[in-house]
Amino acid sequence: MTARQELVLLGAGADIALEAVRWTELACGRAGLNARASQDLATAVIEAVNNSLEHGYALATGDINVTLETQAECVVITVTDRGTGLPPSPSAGTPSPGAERGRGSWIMQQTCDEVRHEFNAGQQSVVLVKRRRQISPDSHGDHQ
Amino acid sequence: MTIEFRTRGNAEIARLPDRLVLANAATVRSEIQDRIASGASRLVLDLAAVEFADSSGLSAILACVNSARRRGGELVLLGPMPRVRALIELTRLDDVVAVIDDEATAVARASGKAAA
Repeated sequence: MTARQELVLLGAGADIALEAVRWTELACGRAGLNARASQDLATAVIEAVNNSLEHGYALATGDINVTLETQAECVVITVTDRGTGLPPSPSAGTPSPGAERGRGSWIMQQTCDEVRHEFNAGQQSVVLVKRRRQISPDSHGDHQ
Repeated sequence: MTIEFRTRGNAEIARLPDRLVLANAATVRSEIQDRIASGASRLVLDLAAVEFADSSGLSAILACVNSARRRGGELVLLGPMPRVRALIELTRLDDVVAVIDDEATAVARASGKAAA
């Protein structure tokens, strides 16, 4: 079974963070995720949206789509923009604690089981995967 | 101004807004760094009201830590909510800046003194 939810952020700007957080947590709840997993994904979604705004739209406004797919083994969130910038390296290493930048990719990697960057027909996507072993509704607060 | 400042002992306490994200991180950083430049290099950043932060917000905090230290001061973080604390720990920001739950202790630490 695959269920799909979608958030369309037209003309999104830097103030879009809380809307994306609230939508992600609601969508994760509807998908049966526990609070910790929902929070992890919301944290990752914000970094992906920031990535679109900073690198895709050069901190101007632009359209961003966020979709959540509930699959048998995992939940998959895809953040897509039509900007022109380059995404950060998907294999970003551990940031230095004293470095003033470079934490966004690290946060996504640490809060998700898998992070992919995809390019297709002028669209750039960040795909965030959370496997189901971590998202049992009755494992409230558990973080395996 | 998005930040309220007050003085306690030898330190200034800056109460940060309810979110610390891309939309306001540059403003927050600028306001705190202006304060540091005016001589208030011993600072406590009160995070009690911050419901949500992202990497942009953490970068702003770290820039302020570095600014304060360049001027011979110190900056500490006070009372983050669990969600914000989790992000601080995830990114190991707590390796470079003290995170303290008690205001008096935070002020003492920022002032370079042992807690009373």
